[in-house]
Amino acid sequence: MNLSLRRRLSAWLGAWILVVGVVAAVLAFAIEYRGANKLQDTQLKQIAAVLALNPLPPTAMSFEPRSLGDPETHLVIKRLGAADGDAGTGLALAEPLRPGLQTIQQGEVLWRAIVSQDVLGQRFAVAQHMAQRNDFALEVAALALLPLVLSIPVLLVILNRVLTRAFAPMAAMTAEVDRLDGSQLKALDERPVPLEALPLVQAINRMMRRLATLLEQQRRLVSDAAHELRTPVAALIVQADNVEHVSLSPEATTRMAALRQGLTRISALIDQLLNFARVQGAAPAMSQRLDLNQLVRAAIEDVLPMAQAKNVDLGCPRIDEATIQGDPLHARVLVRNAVDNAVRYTPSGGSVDVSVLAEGGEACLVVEDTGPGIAREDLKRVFEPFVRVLGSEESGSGLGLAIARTAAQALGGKIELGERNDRHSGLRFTYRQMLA
Amino acid sequence: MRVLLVEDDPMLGHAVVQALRDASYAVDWLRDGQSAAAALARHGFQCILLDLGLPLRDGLDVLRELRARDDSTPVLVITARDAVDQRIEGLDRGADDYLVKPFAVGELLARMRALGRRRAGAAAPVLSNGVLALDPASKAVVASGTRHSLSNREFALLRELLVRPGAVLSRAELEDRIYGWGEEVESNVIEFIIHSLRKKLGPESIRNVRGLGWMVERAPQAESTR
Repeated sequence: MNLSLRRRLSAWLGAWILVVGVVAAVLAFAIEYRGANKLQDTQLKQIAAVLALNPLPPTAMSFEPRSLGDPETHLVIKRLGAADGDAGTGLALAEPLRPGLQTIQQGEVLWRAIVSQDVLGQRFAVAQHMAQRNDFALEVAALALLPLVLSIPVLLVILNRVLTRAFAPMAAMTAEVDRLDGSQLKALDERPVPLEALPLVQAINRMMRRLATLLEQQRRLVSDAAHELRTPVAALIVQADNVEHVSLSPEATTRMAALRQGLTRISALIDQLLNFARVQGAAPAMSQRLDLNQLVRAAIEDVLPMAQAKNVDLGCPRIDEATIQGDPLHARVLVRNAVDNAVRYTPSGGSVDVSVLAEGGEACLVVEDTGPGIAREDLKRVFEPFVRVLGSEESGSGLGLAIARTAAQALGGKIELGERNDRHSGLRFTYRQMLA
Repeated sequence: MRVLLVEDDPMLGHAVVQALRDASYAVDWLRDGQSAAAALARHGFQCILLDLGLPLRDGLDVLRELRARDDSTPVLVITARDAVDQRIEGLDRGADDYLVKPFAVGELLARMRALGRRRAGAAAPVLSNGVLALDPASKAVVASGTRHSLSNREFALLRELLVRPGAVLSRAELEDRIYGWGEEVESNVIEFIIHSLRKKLGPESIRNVRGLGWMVERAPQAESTR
């Protein structure tokens, strides 16, 4: 499996954020915990200092300022020396106690106490439950932890976002390369590419240029070959004409007609090869506004002799006003091939309807015939050059639909082939392009 | 009529020479640009058939030299490149017409005859598609050997169709062309005129193209071959 740079970055950065976050949290917790304990010690010292200046009344053996109402500030203040007992405080202190802060174990309970002497020389102690103090410290430390803990998922989300952003140009470029087909090998835009990926993209672009040159050479080869073929075919046709100039027997005349058909077919194939090479290579700079109706009319005028010879009724049930933008060569070849194909594959006595519809901002050329149609499983294949559907007796060039599709791609439109929507059987050719 | 054929392909050259001799032309055939230029400098021809891709000297170059001498001999360029190719644009400078390979002999002879007529200054004013021949002077049409006289509207409509045989004209276009500005066009008048024309000239004389309009057929190939 291929290594994903993104996934690696994501995993490692995420793991490190977690580790560093946890360590930072533990440290923060420890520091806060100690700090809270120190703070409480300081409090005890301050209370002792205040009591030293303001001696407890002699009656008060002990004092629990519960009136403060807050269990967390629960204090026990106790006079030392006299009748020691816990006096209901739970704290029994036995002398001798050294002055100052200390931790006293009493049964199960731990106390934190400060022992001091007031101005009258009376010794006293201020004590707190260790458990209470710890609870407080824990709470403070836990609160200090909260922002840190919350920041970890936030950081992870941000990390993910940043990575997605950083890799977006790569994703966009991948989509762009996927969209490219052989007919338009243009260099990728290098501007949005990150510095790190630039050498790769530049290498791809260099390859594209080499491929484009190669494709252009191929296209030119087809075009030159077709042009070269024209001269010998011209010679053959003139020779056939010359043969017909002398009187032939009826049998020879019949055979000549078959020969002529073959010559016509070769001529048509050469023309289609040239058209194919042309639509593959025409410059898009020739783009201009085109009247689709004029194109349809020109195509019908061109194909009409064949339709009449075959007794196919060629007509236009609906012609909307429609103007498209594009190279005139592409548009002419596209419409011509659509109409030519329909008439070619429609049997004698059938009909071909050519319509131009302008709907929803789209120009739509529809050519419907009463021919045998194309089987569903062949619909994709017939756009490939020289693919003919089995069972068809017509001698087309095998290039018509390939030419039409190439022209459609160059024009920015889309061809659909399918069954007719009405009760007739036959092929429905649809070409859609935005209105100009 | 003496014709110079300049064509480097031996197969096509032989075939065209044969076709031209069959049609009673006197033909000289040269295979390269240099000898063609030399021959043109020395002899007079009534028509030149010139291929463009020639050895030793390019066909266009030969043509340029010919025109630079103010020689206005009709030149028919025979080329494998067609109208879409840019080389054709260069022809405007000197060629009278061009023929794209492959071509039928009938087409070649028809173009040569047209060049001859144009040179004689007698370009036939008669409009014809090979079946119908319209004479603007007498406003009469000849169909299958029979002469029919036409009304003004019939003549105007048929003339529009015969200007470009094979082209389809819509009702609106026909109305536009045979009625002047401000003239009121009665409904169905085009159908009416066409109906009466068909009655005179035969039902196949003017063809209807469903949803588009009307046309007269282009000159059939077979007719021009003989």
